[in-house]
Amino acid sequence: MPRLMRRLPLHFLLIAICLVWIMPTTGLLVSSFRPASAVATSGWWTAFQSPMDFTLENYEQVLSRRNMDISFLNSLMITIPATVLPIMLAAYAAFAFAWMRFPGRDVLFTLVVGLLIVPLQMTLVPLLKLFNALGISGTFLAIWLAHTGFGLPFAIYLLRNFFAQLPREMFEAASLDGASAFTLFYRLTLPTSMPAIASLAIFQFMWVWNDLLAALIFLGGRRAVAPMTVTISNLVSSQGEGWQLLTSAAFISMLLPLAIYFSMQRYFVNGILTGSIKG
Amino acid sequence: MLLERLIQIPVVVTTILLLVVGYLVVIERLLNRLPHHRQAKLRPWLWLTPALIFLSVFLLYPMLNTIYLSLLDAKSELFVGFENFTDIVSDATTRNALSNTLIWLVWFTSIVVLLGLLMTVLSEKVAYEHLIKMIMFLPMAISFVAAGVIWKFMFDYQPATRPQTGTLNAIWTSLIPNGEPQPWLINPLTNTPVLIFVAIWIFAGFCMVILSAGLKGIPSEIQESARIDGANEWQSFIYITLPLLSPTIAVVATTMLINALKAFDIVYVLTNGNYNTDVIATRMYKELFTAHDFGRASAIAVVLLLATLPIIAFNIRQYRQREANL
Amino acid sequence: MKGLVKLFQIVVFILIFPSLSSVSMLAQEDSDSVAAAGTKALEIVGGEAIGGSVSMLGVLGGAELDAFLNIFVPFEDATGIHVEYESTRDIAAVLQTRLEGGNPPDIASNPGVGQMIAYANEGRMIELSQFLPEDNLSNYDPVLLETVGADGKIFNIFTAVNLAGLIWYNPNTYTGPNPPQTWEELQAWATETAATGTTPWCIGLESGAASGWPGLNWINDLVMNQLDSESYNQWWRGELSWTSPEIRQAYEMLGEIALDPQMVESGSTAVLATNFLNGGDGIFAEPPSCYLHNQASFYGAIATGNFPDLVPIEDINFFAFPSIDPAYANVRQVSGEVMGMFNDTPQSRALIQYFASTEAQTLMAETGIWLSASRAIPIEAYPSPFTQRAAEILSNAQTVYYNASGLMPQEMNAAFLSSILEYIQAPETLDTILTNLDSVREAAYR
Repeated sequence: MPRLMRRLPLHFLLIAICLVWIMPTTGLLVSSFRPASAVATSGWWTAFQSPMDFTLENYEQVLSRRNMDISFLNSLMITIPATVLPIMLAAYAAFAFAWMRFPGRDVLFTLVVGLLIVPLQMTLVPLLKLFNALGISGTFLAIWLAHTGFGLPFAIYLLRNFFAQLPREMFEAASLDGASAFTLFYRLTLPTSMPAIASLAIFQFMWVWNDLLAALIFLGGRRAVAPMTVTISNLVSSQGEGWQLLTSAAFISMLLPLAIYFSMQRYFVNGILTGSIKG
Repeated sequence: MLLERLIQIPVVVTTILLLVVGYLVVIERLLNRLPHHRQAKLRPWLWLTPALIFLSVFLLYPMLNTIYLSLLDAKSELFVGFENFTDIVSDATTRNALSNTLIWLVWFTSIVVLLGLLMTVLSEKVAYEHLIKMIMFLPMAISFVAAGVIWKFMFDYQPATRPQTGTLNAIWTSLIPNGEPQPWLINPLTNTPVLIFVAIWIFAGFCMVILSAGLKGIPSEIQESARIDGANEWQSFIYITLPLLSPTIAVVATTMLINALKAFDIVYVLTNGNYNTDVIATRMYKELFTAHDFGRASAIAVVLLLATLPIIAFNIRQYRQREANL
Repeated sequence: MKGLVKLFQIVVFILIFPSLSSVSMLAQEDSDSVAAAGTKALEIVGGEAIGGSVSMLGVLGGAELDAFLNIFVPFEDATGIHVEYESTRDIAAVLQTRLEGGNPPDIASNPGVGQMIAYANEGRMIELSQFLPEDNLSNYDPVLLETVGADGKIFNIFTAVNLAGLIWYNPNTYTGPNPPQTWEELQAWATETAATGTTPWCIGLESGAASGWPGLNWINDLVMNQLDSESYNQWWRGELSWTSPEIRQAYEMLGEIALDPQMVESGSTAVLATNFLNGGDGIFAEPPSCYLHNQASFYGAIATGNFPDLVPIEDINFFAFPSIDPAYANVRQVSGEVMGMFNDTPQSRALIQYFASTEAQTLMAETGIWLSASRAIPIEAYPSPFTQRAAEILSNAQTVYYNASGLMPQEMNAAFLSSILEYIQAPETLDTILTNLDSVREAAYR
């Protein structure tokens, strides 16, 4: 009992912050099951007073929307390669930055960090020109390449920091045993950095999954290639009618990233490192 | 078309994996044929090559192009020197945007990093850690299109005579006696803080995920051994956890500083910079897509670039220190 | 945790499955007008399907996009040309980037008319008069066509037209002059009503990134009703100073309503903070908290969306903005989108020709959402009571203007938009606001 009493402020603080954090999303969730006219004229918290007026209409309309099915697959087609590619390339680069010695290493690395600031808007026109010259604008290849480029600085920055924190002794021991760079990378570095790689993967996945601008510029909103963000933003008319559909659409498009987050949960929890190596 | 896509996806992903792993296998094979000292010299560059190609084409080249354009006129035809820079500095709107960005830098970064750290460390101590993490992570998964709707529900304003539909005003009017509904996004006293709060709401989960990945990397034995030596929770946090976590904190802080500098979507969606909420990135967007002034837009982008120099310098110093300590 | 993952997989599957299996079908009326449009389309391509596709960039979404695309169904069926509509809310940025990057859409249907006029002036668009037949063009108001062109040549045609400057009311509660003969008469009634304690007007300007736009229509109404057409055209061309008395007076007249808590529901704060979708809600409240709401022809759909029980004409109706100066009576403003061409292909030529035809414009009228800019479309073609009445007002107009803010260069338009919000928030700074608009004018029309 005293322990619980002593920890009461801790629980109170955590729960209070969580309540604040979940409230906006709860409002959206409740609203997604209400008819538009009710949402426009009364607050979402009044939904549970009688007369209760709930409907699946918003979900039905979004799911039955033309092209929602193909755009879901298009989103996957865009997002998976655009997540795998930058993370793998960043891991190579980060490994080199963290564990190899070469002249100009620090300068090059700070340049990579500096590239984080480049505003996306300033890259659009030069890149579109390039893609046109290569004849790949409007193709999935263009958007994979673009997202890889945009995602790399943060990925390299994050992974290099995590790689560099791995115990030096571990690498020295393995090197003495004759392990190659390839083995050090795939057998030691990657498995022990899973929490960082998993975090990175989920972020990159979500950024690409939720991206609208790059898709519109490099891919275009053509039905054959349009991702879900494009199809969803087209649910609403130019005068704003149909905005209530965005409530249900938000949850539908959130399901996959959340499912991935859950399925990666165990990687977030343990680096294999924890407990296995003595500090 | 659906079936075609369903087949394409695994094929594409497998191809990419094969290409990327295959690259490493091939270069390592080739390297192994070389004498040892040549290997050590060449290896880092070959590991870096794919990333460097992408970075040069997709970011470095557009950045250099931007610097070049910042010295040309609106239509990128005539060389005007530093005129764009003197223009934006003397322009009251841009100066106002600069000072707002400064507010973002200070408040957004400090609050979001501290909150992320606090939640990471505290949630370790309770059984419902996963639940907390998921709740904090949730906002990141919501697209900006939907976030616009969410915040409409939060900040909505109705005249006092009508029932409030915005959560914040409903709470406000019921908690404060005779409380008038507030136009949160319009009142210059509340709008920038409110926008910053939205950003914190989105990015706190990001900080938390990365910080806790860093925390998981600290062997628990170290903390336990400190405890055995008689340190209390607070002391072991300050003297053991915090120093070991500091590289990760630096990564998070740097990323958030850059996010604050680049803050755009939230302002664009909720106020479009009206009522004194403009920030550097919304100014740049307006110069680019409303005024069609490539020179000025590029100059603003260059100012952003310059603003990151201190952040980068801080990072370099950090590395040097850590290297020296090893 | 494993269980949760499974659960999620199941949920995802259930949600995805129905949409995978649903076959998309366009509801297609087999009416005479559809058949006529098909025949026309086939005639345009020379009697034989030519195939291919046209990419079109626009801003429409949801039900209105479906209605818009329905206009092209007979065209697609007859010609084999596939219309690929790409929609974005941020068309200014996307169109500019795609154009700069060398990858423009074949056709853009753009509400940012100023942007399209600028592209026409820069020679980046295809001149339409070189292939649009003369007898077809004569269906359109020549002055309006020239307004959205360049150098007296035609580069854009009108699509998705709305009539602005309509004053909406609830026939069950509104007791004022109907229709009022003059602005003075209406405002006299409004002042009287205000004195009894009920606010006569309601205004809602909030609209996210586009906040303030209903105010543009207000100012436009107030300006065009007090200005000769020569000066009106000078205004949007940047040849009239914003500090000139006519413009200043329009702001002040809007202020007399929007800044006075007795004239407008809940005063200026509510004007700024109320979303335009809820702007007229007070008319239908019980008891009404206001009686009059100035909004374009699409407001009927918004109101009946918020209050599904409203019966058109019986519970919600409108009259046209009354005249202020008898010298310029019966002037009307339209807004909407214009359609122009960036890539000259046989397919996009065919599409523009088809769209400008009376047959396609009849289908436009039949959407019940927009008006047609073509004067050849009879009032009876409009199925909705709202669009029919609006079309009637438009056809009886003495002078039809295109909304001035839409014609201004984007930079001027954006500054004009902000000026409305600034004025409502701090009316005492009107001098500064107008002077600032003048300095933007100098830069924007270079």
